[in-house]
Amino acid sequence: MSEINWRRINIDQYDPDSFMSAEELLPPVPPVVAADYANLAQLVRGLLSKGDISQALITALENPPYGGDEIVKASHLKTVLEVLTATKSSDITSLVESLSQEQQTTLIKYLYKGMSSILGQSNGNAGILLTWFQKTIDTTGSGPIVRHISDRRTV
Amino acid sequence: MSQSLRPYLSAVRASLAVALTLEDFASQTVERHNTPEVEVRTSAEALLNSMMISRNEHERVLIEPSINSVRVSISIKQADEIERILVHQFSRFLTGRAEAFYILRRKPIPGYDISFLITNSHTSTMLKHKLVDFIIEFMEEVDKEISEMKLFLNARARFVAEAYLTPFD
Repeated sequence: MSEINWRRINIDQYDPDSFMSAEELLPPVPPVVAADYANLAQLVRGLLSKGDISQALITALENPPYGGDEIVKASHLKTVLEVLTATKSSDITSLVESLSQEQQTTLIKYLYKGMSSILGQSNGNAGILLTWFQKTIDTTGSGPIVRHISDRRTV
Repeated sequence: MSQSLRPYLSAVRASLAVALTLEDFASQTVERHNTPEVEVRTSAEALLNSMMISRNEHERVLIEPSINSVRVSISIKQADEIERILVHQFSRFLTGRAEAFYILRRKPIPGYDISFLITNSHTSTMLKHKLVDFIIEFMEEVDKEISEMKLFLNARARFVAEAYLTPFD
């Protein structure tokens, strides 16, 4: 007699059609080259030092690294946070209005991700992110939040 | 209300209002079962991306939505040892009476002080905006409550110490 209690075996786990994995749910995303995002970070920093915050924000939010690994995503989060913390709070509303819908959704994704990271929570960054969040929601309504929770592509 | 509390609570309110769009959804793995998907985590397609809203390192809210249930976990501010004890006792007091609170989870998830579990049956029997209001009000009150208890505890400790040490004076 075998030791395995075969009545207890969950046979569904051997049927690939019975469940969907997280990878199957992810829509096709282009693969990411880490060097591209290093260049992008340089570009954004250059724009920031010139004081062109609007262009820096659009550049940072244009191509989020959906297909990248955690290291690329974390470094791009750092770039976005640099732009967000460099902005004066009186300019936020007009900046958000100048973004496209896609970019506004990406902004909300980064705000949530920023607030869940150590970097976004420490040295008063959380307050800045909350101000951004408040002003974005005032402009866009709750649409970007809905798209954030239902989008399988994470930043 | 203090200046930084207002955007914090309004962010939680906006996120909760979105997360609380729930519908009845039977389990896909076990027949005739209807379980909160956010708890059992058996089907990945029924879960949605979680949202974390933080005011600083210690005060944060985690909202985990799914198709038929939402889990809201709150981490309450704990500045020192006394507050840590008070928060622990306070959340113990509440979770021990979870039966009377309906939406309270009997055990907070690791890393947080108190968790709520709202399912589609709650949103169908209670008003959605009242549920949101309740959680916002809870977050507002709990800080006030804890700091009040701390003041009371300190005043009481001072009085007791004086009364006890008077004979040795």
